[in-house]
Amino acid sequence: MGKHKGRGVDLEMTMDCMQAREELWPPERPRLCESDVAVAQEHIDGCRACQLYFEQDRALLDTYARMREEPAPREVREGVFDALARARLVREEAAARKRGRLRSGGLALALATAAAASVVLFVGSPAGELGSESVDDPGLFAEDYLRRAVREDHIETSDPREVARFVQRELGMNLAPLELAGLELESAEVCLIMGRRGAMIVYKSPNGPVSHYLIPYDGAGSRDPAVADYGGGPETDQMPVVTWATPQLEQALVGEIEADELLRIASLAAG
Amino acid sequence: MPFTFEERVSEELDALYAGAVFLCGGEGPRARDLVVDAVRLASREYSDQRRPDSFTQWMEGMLVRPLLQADVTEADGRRVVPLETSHADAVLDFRWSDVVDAAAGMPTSARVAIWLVVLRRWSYEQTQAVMGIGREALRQLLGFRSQLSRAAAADGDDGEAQGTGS
Repeated sequence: MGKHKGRGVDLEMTMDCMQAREELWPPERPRLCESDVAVAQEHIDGCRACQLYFEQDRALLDTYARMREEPAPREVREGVFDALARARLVREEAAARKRGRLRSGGLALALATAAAASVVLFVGSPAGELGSESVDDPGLFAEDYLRRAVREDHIETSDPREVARFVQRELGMNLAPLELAGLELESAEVCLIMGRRGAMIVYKSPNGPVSHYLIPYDGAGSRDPAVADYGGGPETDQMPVVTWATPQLEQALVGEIEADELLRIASLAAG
Repeated sequence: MPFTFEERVSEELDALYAGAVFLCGGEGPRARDLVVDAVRLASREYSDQRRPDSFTQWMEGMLVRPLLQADVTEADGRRVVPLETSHADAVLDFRWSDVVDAAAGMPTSARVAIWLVVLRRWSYEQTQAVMGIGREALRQLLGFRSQLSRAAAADGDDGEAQGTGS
């Protein structure tokens, strides 16, 4: 029981354990010392059971706080990011349908756009050149951020066998990097485009870096390499992207080189 | 730089999963599915124009929503009594595995209430609002909290998990 003396008024207030604990919940929150609070505190000060209750509360909270810092398993992260990417794909497709821009190569267009944004971030962009008129969809940046957050997804090597093993291990895909004159293998990483995990293999060429995207996609029919159309017409100042598809595999080449050169490489790659 | 929704979710992911493990009584696959469902739900409702005041708390509300929408069992009507614990039973050092094991034996609604109030420090009013229950019902559910310390006391046979109050 507790008693509280108000200003000039002799108040008798009592609280049981349950009331006192509820009044002071959560205990770490600062509160004004109003009459109920004072009575509750007086009860706690004189009640060993309530003191123990709050000590246990602190101990429980400390235990939980340690657990919250443990990283979530990889499959949890992948599941979440996959769900986010698919949700955004649905929104983008709905928006594109609304604008009347969705065509049969819709995936190719989205792949080209996302791939271009990813390469901009991967190879870096001199300050001031990445203006809002080039890549202004924050979702693309977020997508790239997510794929990096999946982690354990990057190797730097010039050994094509190592890249092949990496892709097999990380993605279950059997493929060999391109072996073309003028292309030097540099690295490989897992990418996340429109909710699908794929591979991005980076090469060095005499004219600049080239990234080769390979995205498993059920329903990808065969399609010859072609320079992707962003939809803004030939005057659009966009990074050249060449896309093509083999059965169940969408592919793209992105690089800060001439579109004709990309197309030539893609044609050789497509065999 | 303002965070995108995806970045904010990424920041909360580890904490959300820890909560999901408790809410699912330690079942990892269920906890994973719960987190994914919560994020899916949140992505449908999130709006850049109407960002929640506390993204963390908003996501916590999303996490419990699938559980509350399911056919959860009610508290068994046990009356909440003040925790009467002698010093010999006072547990001041919990093992997370013991806490989760104890949670597994509770009704889902009790796990939700304890997670929100005790572990996430929600106010009683906020918890009542999201669970759609009154104060008395919430008190009954929070009464299951004593199972956590009893389970920790029972499982700490080696004495390492037990402490005594002074």
